[in-house]
Amino acid sequence: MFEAFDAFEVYEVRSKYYSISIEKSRIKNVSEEFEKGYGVRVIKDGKLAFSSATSLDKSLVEKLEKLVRISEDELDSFPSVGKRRVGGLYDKKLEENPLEVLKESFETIEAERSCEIASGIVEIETLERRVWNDTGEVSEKATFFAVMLEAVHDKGSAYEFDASRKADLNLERLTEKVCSLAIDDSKAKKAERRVCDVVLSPLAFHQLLYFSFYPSFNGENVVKGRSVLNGRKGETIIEGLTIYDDPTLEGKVFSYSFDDEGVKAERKTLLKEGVLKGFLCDFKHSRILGEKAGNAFREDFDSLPKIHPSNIVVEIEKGSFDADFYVHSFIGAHTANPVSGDFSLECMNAYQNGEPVRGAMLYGNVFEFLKKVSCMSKNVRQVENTICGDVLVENVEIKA
Amino acid sequence: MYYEIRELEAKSFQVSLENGKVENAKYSEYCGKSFRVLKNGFWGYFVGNLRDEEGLKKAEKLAIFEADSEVDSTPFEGSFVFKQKKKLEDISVEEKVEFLREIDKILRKEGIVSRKLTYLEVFRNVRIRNSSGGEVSYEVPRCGIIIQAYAKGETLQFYGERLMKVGGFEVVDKAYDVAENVVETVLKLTKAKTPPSGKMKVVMDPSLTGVFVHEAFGHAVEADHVLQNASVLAGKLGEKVADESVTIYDDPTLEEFGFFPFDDEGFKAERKTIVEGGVLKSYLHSRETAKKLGGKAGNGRSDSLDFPIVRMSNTFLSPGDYTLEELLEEVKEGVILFGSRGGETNPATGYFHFNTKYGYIVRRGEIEEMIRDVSLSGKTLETLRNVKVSKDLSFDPGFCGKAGQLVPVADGGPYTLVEAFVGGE
Repeated sequence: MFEAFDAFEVYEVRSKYYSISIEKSRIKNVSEEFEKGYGVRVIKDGKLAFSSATSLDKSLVEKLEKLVRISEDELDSFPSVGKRRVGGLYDKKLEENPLEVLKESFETIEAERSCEIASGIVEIETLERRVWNDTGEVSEKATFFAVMLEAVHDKGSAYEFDASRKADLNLERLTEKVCSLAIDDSKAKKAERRVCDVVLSPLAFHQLLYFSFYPSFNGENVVKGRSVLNGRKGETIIEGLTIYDDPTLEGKVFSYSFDDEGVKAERKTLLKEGVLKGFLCDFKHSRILGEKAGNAFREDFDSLPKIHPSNIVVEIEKGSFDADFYVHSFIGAHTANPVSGDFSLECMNAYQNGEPVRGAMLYGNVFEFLKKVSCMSKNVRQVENTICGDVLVENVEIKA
Repeated sequence: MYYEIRELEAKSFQVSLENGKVENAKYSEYCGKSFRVLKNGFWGYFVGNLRDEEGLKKAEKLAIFEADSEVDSTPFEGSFVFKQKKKLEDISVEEKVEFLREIDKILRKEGIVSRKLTYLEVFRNVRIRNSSGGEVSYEVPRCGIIIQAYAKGETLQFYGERLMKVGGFEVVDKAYDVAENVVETVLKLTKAKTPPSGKMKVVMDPSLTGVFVHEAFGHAVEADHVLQNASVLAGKLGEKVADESVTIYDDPTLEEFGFFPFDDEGFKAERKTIVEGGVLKSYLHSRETAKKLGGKAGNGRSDSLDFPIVRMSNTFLSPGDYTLEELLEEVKEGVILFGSRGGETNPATGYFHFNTKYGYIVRRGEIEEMIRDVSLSGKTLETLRNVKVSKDLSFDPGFCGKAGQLVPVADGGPYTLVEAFVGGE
């Protein structure tokens, strides 16, 4: 089919997706979605082009021929495909009885809620990925189970979510948590301005890092002059902080046996004891930077592979601590500056001296802010890409 | 039993010019079908390429609970094709790339360390039928360019603007002016200072006003939020919720990025008056919320073939009588802020928070030094109680996310003078 080109790569997705939506504590609908699609990349004379469709046919090839003529995206080959054994990515129960699991989930949420669940969604997906190119073929079947709840009580509100690869989410705890946050928020007072130690929940810490810190480790940003870490390998960036990206962890939400270019999953150290060790790369940028590939992600079959973190493990000295200020989540974390790392964020479901407060803001630059991190709690949790505990940050100015 | 069948054919083309190189060239085609059945007050929803009867049967089988959903099932008939002035099909990919190269020349300036231009076009072909005999179909093209530049001076900064609308290649005619502005702004940004913080007088530019109206007000009038009790505006229809100078519309018939002739429930699009003279006039509705709350449907939208939910289209604050100079004169010590890098609002509490792209300190009515990474926050209703509105009006395009679905929208407004909390070091 792809004889006209020097090399090809097909990314195939088959997905079975089930969800229930909750509105005002009632189930509103049940959805079932079947999707199949192909994303095809080809190389001709060292230039790359991409096209996607819901079926593989001649018109797709014609489009690729058109695009490869104008492309200046340089690549001379696709990576050798390979697969690592990563356990715990698939749960038969989720594939075979999704509706039952969804129903049970709703019943648990309904039984445990102590205030209104204004909206919520429970999702189950079985995703089959297959990548084949001139070097071979790899495939993987994986399941996902995710819940997002938004609770409202009087004038208070809160949201929480959790995800897993198995039908093992603790929805009692999640429901209880989101309701108690919303109820607390309904009694919130105005936050007071002061400088103090602050604890960020794993959710708040993830929100901060995801939008203002991780982009600087993206190999494409580094190559294109959009990262402040460019050219600083071997330098101490944030003393004492170790972070690595690890898609090989058993059963984690962003684990995989191969990435979306078919590259075997591998752990990468980004910062070791504060020293910059490496960047996240897809195949193309791995070659330019001399780094490992394996962090190519596609949102769907119609998206180009883009560099993205998998599971980011944060290692900081562990201990127990108390602080005057606790932040559960941020409002507007996506508005942080991904290039400079500057942020100004409003705290949501925050507590000052144990009392719920509103209107507190944190400002700063993530690279400076992280230098004030001194300790992390022992109980760690995964929030999307980030695996960490509650994080203690010293001497932070809370504005109100 | 009520049902809908929606067929979608989407075609898109995208190409970037990054630091002068053609990258990420991409064609995508999508075709699919969704089936929605309302039975015993409960929705069963199925997406898959099946024949009508089979698909409906699948959807009906998913309606496994009982609930209290009901719909305004008014049928509409009609077919609409958006007329492009410069047909996208008539322009070759080579010409589109050449256009990007012309724009790129403007960005090649000393101090600019990285450049990214993205050209995109999308055709959306939709056909929706329902059980009450409605059948609508339409084809709408969208076209646009995103211009971004990164500059290094005292700090590494980036700045970008988007020019996107419904229509053909004529949409990107103004890209040259936009590029000039991007270069000028990003170079200045590297020398900009961090802003002061505190409650102060703020002049918002039309783009930021638009985001404010969208984020802080638009989401609160989405009737699903109202029904969930998750809106500060629940139960306030007919009440004065803002200053008399505030009039807000949502208008999908304007030829901006959020345009549509029929919504994704097959309901005819029309302008909705949300606030008139400060009084809350109506919420935005889907077929379901319209039935429940007694409003007018027409704002049920969906990303691809997802379940349609209540969404905005082109939302804007109507212009007033002031000039920008008159607004500035009222600012003894404050800021003027431009554009938005995104925002978030809690519709339940009315708290809003967004980050602006840049701004300037204003002293005694004069625009002085530039500031960056400025955030703006406050409470929607308090902020709108005291506002002054200029004569201007312009729109900014964007993609609005809700419940994991992205849809194209435009936000607009004039310059406005408000008092809000400005944040910075």
